[in-house]
Amino acid sequence: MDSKNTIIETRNLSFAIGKTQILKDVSLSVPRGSVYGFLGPNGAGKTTLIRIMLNLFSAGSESVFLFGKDVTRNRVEVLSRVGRFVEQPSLYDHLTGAQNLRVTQTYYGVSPSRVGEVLSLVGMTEYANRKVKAYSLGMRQRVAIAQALIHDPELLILDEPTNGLDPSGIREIRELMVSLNRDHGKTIFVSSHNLSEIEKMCTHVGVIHHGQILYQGSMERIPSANENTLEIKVKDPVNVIKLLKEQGLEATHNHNSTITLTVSGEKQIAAINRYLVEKGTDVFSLTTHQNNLEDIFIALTNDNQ
Amino acid sequence: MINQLYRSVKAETLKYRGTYAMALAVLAPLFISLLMAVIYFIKAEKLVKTGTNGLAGMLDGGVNASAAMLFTFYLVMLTILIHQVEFRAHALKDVFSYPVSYFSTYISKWIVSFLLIGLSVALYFIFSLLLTWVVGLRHPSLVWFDMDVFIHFMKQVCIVMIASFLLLGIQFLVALRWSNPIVPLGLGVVGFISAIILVQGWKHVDTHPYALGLLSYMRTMGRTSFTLGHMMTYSTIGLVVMMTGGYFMWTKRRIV
Repeated sequence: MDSKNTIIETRNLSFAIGKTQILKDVSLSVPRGSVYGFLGPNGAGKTTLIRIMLNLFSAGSESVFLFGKDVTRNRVEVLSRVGRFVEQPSLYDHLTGAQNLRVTQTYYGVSPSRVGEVLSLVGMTEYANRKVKAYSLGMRQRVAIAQALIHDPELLILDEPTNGLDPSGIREIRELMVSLNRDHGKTIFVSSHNLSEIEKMCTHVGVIHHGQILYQGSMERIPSANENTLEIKVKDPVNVIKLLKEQGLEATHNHNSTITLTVSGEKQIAAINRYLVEKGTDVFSLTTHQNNLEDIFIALTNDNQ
Repeated sequence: MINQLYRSVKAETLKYRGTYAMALAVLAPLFISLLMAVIYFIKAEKLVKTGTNGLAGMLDGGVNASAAMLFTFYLVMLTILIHQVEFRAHALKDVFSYPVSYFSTYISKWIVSFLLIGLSVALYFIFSLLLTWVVGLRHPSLVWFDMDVFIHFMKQVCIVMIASFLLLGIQFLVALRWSNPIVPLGLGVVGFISAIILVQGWKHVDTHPYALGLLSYMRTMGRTSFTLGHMMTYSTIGLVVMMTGGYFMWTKRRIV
């Protein structure tokens, strides 16, 4: 394994709780310096995998490696280099935000001055001395992210960090993550339901469904990410589908007088248009739509139902 | 390892600032000593024979009530409140993902528990001393400070505490295992009631964890023939067994 370039690696990881198989043969590889988006529907196994990475669930040795080291055998050393946020903020309501961070800072054994620094980083300095029970969910999320950052870790593992945040809060957290990655060189592994967020900030993506990895790799290399859907409005859709089939193109007839097909670029669109006009077809409109992560995610998960 | 333990204990102590566990540790000894002091403050003439020192009776009233019931429920509540701090914050997943050993996080919880119990016992002595002085001001001829009586009182409290170690171990583990506080509370109630019934005549009652505090107190008063040394040793060994078992439970815990 190349531990210089790979910061998280799982090898054929399978995990069951009782008779329920949660993860099946998961082999994941997260490049150092990446922002890795981990996608999957509810119950796909995202949180379970994150808990195994943090050794909260034991999946046995030689299956999960962080920084090239087996998590089970090097738990304390590995965890000292990881900042984490799992599912929901874990804060003591009777303490203030600053006191909660003081607890975290004490566990990590870092300087008390880090409390003020991370509070400032997440924009919570003003509310530092207010009890957590008076915080909104967004404020709790920020303090929890501050907890993850307090020991200046190389790797951040964040499970749904924007859950419950309003749009501006989501944007701030996204910008914070991008900045941590770009300006501070942190590798970030983030699970989310929010596909557009992942699309906006991640360099790499992994898709999990029913405990199996369906895709992983860089955003640029996602299958069909560079393909477009072309929608053509014509007078006689059935005839046009036949004409396109003669050219080796598969098109589908929609409920109205439009057809859709997948194309790879503008040149092909122009060629199709020219061909149809030459065949005497009246083309009323051509509309393209670039496949986004949501389309790809739905296509991947539907294929594996 | 020592550094990890130090960090864990320090972090644990920070968590208990302003909690119900801390309030209980302070208020429980105040309640018992104040209760007895108020009774003697108001009714010393009726309770103490002229020419005798009412201090022994006043202090003994508190120890008697504690050994019979209050100390049991104090330990039941304290162990619940200690663990509920973590459960209510859903913070166990954090505790388990800090870069400190399982041993450090586990033992630090025990150390904090002992510190809180130690605080309660120390405050009990201090409050008793102060309130003896206050009652003595009101009734100088009926209640006055006597070192021998006070030392006997402190010995009794320590004996009851040590004899309750096994109860502490059981309640600590149950409160740690079940996040629902009804489970340890229910066990405490069942343990207490069964102990009160069995103390009436069961010959092996000195093996009942919830009866040991009361039995050891009765022994100091010469009201039972059970051996004090046996009960305290049994309780202490039981605590060690519980602590060891709890550690394995802690390391195998699946954090959901």
